[in-house]
Amino acid sequence: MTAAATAGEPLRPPFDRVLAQIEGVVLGKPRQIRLALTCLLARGHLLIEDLPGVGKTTLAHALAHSLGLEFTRIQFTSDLLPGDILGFSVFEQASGAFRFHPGPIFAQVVLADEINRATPKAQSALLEAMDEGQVSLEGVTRRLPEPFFVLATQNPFTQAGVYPLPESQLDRFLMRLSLGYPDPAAERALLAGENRRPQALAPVLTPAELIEAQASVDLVRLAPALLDYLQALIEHTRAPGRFLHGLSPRAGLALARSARAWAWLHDRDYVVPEDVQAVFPFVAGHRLQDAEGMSGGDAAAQAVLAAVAIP
Amino acid sequence: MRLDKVLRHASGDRRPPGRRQRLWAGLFGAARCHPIPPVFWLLPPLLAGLPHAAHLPIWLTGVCALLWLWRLLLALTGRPLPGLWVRIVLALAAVAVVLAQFGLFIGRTGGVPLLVLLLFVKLMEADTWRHQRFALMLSYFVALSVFLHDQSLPMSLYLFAVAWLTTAALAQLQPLADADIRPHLLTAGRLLLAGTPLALALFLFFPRLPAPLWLLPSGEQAGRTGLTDTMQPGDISRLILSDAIAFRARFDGAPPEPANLYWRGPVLARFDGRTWRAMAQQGEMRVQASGLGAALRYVLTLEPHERPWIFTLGLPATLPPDTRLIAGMQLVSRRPLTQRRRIELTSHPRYRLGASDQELAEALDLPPGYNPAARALAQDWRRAEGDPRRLLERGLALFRRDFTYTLTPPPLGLNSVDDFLFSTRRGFCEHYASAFVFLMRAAGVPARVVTGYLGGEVNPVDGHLVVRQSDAHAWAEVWLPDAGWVQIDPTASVAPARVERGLAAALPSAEVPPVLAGLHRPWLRELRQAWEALNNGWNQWVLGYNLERQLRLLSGLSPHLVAYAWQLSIAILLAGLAVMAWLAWAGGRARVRDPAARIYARFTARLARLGLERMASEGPLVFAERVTQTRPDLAPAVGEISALYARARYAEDPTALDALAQAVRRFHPRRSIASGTSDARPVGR
Repeated sequence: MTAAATAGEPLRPPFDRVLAQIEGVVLGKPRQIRLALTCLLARGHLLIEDLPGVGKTTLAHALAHSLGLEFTRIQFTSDLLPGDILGFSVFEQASGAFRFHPGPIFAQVVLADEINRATPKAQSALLEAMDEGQVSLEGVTRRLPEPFFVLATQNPFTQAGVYPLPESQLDRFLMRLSLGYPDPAAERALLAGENRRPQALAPVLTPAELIEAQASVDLVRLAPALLDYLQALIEHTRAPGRFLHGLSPRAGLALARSARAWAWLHDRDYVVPEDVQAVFPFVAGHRLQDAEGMSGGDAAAQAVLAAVAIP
Repeated sequence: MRLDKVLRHASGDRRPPGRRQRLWAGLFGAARCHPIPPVFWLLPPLLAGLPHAAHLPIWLTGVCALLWLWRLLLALTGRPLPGLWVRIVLALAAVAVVLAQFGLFIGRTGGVPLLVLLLFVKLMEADTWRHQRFALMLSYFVALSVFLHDQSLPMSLYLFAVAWLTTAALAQLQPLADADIRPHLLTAGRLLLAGTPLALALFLFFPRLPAPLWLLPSGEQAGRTGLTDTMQPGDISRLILSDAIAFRARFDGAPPEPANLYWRGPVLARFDGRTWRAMAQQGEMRVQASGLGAALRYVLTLEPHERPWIFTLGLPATLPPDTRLIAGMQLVSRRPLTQRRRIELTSHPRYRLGASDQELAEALDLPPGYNPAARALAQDWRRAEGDPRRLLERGLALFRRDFTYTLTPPPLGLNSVDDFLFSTRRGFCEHYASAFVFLMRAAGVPARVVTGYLGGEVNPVDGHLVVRQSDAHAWAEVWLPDAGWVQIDPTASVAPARVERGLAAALPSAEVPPVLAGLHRPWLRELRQAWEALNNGWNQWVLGYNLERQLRLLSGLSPHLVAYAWQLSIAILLAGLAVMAWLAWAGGRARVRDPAARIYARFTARLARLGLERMASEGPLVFAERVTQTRPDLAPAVGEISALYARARYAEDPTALDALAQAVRRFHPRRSIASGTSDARPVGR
């Protein structure tokens, strides 16, 4: 497992405390927590694909509270309308004018639960907001707060009553990861332990500090040797017959940003190949589909990593 | 090992190693530990400077040696080099002192000492690889300048070895290089071997200049052994103590019998009672001489003797270029032979040589007053015999009676001929020749002394006839009206063996000089013959390869080569330029590869030899962790190197690159984990 190498590194303070705190409520998932923090630092959005009840919501809550961010949650259902996400204007008798009631998207951390249960129309309302960082409604453009982080969850496609996200929209998520069942030790601790409420977590840093951190991620050095490596990885996915589509330039940018964020989070101001390898399966996994159109996922991404030499 | 440790290791603060360890490593430069850079690079400057010691004043040699020892001591103890001002003063003092001693910087006398001295001063400031490489480049040049003094085969071999060591030292002073010198010796050897064909091709085909670009000043004309234009009793017997080679001859066909090998040199006709001097007349020979019988063809290779004579067998049939035949039938070069010279000759061993009146008058002249007894004896003969031939017979017959051929004749008084003829009766060839000529002149027969060499020895290895100083000889020439000048060797009457079998056979065994005595041992003789043949080959084919020989070689290859020399030269030049351009281009391509990656490749190669191969898709830190799991003993070194590589390559940190180079130089992992410790473990941990 290539990404294991950097998985044990200590984090840059104060994120080490954030990690420790979240690990206290989301048991046995340090790697996923790191990836979630990476995603946040890279100003990306995270898609968590997993069964209900494995701790997706808890992770979102814990992230929001630890980072001192305001948090909303949208439960996606098949009858959800765009207005339920973005908000709508209501005529107010008192002022004699329409007043905008912002929807739940106007928060710093938005948990979009079971995003694939909603219709494509509702989904696209969310995804456009994610991409633009703003909401345009009735001719008025309203900026979303900063930092803005969408944590969407989706059920596996095999479950009934889901509208799978089209590829173009999957591409808007910087990473996709799955939590998976906890390992036996974590599960036992979970079962034996007291009620772990993420709402009780104290904020470790302020939103301003988070924005500052996001800015310094951009300064992480990406040496030409690593650009070569990134290009080699992307080139490899584009070879005919290997995947349905190769990685897009946007995917390449996402990969670079994620690697930078991972390196920064692990207290390095330059990216090493291991950083790229740590994030690659989660950045590329949902963007790669095998020739039959099935999502390539982790295995495909690992195959790519194993096949491409580090220059 | 955890990665955080790996990374922390990169900035590691190792304690400096102890002095003893540094000394040990410096002395033995082995792979064990390298707290100080190896001192091998100090060796080539020393070796390059060493041959100059023979030509430098002793104090200069001493200063150089002291500087070198000082530098070695500083390197071994790891102490800092002298400060800037010390070095500036040293350099200025070197220039001033050489200027004071030699005056000019130009040429061999002043330029070379300055160069050598500055090389050793340069060592004092060579604290970085850049300076050390510079000192090594200078060593090449200093080594090359040895050729201004000595171009012999042994010295060439020595300098070739110096070039080899210098190249190895240069290879060692590279960021990627191993600290151990052995692989660099191999590399340097391969480089030299690879360069040899090119050097050979350049040697053979690079256009030779008809004359050197500049004339080398020759300072050491004095002290060369050889025949001179005067002769006193004892001169030749001193000369024959040297076994230095006078010249070599190669005959078309078998060489003549030793007894016929009278190599004619200076002709001495003026006598002042003690000393024989050259003929007064030194102009071109006017009297006609003609060859009788077949001519001999041979090639002489004359060692430099600083005089113009070219030793011939009899009358030269044709004049080689740049020579003339002067009175007395002496073949002389227009310039003194200051360098080894190869001359092709054709000459008639039998000839008829006439004489001018002036020559005959000179050949009868005797200083008045000296040697009354000899004079009286000759006049007795003269009264008894009218025929000059009979007089000759009488003269030679005199020597056949109780005269002794010896290298150590007793000293002679003022009347040297009288003393010799009537009291000591012990003498060497010059005594016999001198006395014989005196008697003949006193008896009215024109006579003169001819000096030169007699005989020679065929070296069976290369077939050359080798003539040494110990073959020096003096004989007589008398004028017979019906036959011209006739060669008479009075020594042959005393010691026929000298003429037929050489000097060693003619002398009493107790008197054989050591240089000749040793040669009775056959193996020694063979060794010397082989060695001299080798030297001769070197002289003939390497040093003697001139424009003429080059043209002959080229026309031997193809007659068109010489005709199209210009076009060919330009074509070769263009081809050479094309090759160089290609090399530059290919080299540029090779350089694209990152230096850190190249160093890291060495590291992974060493691990691969232990079975720990890095997968192409494996990042350096992941690989380090995997190696560490298999070989925990390598953890510190592997961790350090991997972290440094990551910094050097991906953070593009130049200091990390240097540290990486150092760390990889130190990294020599042992094959077996069972041995417990690893070479790669840093010192002082």
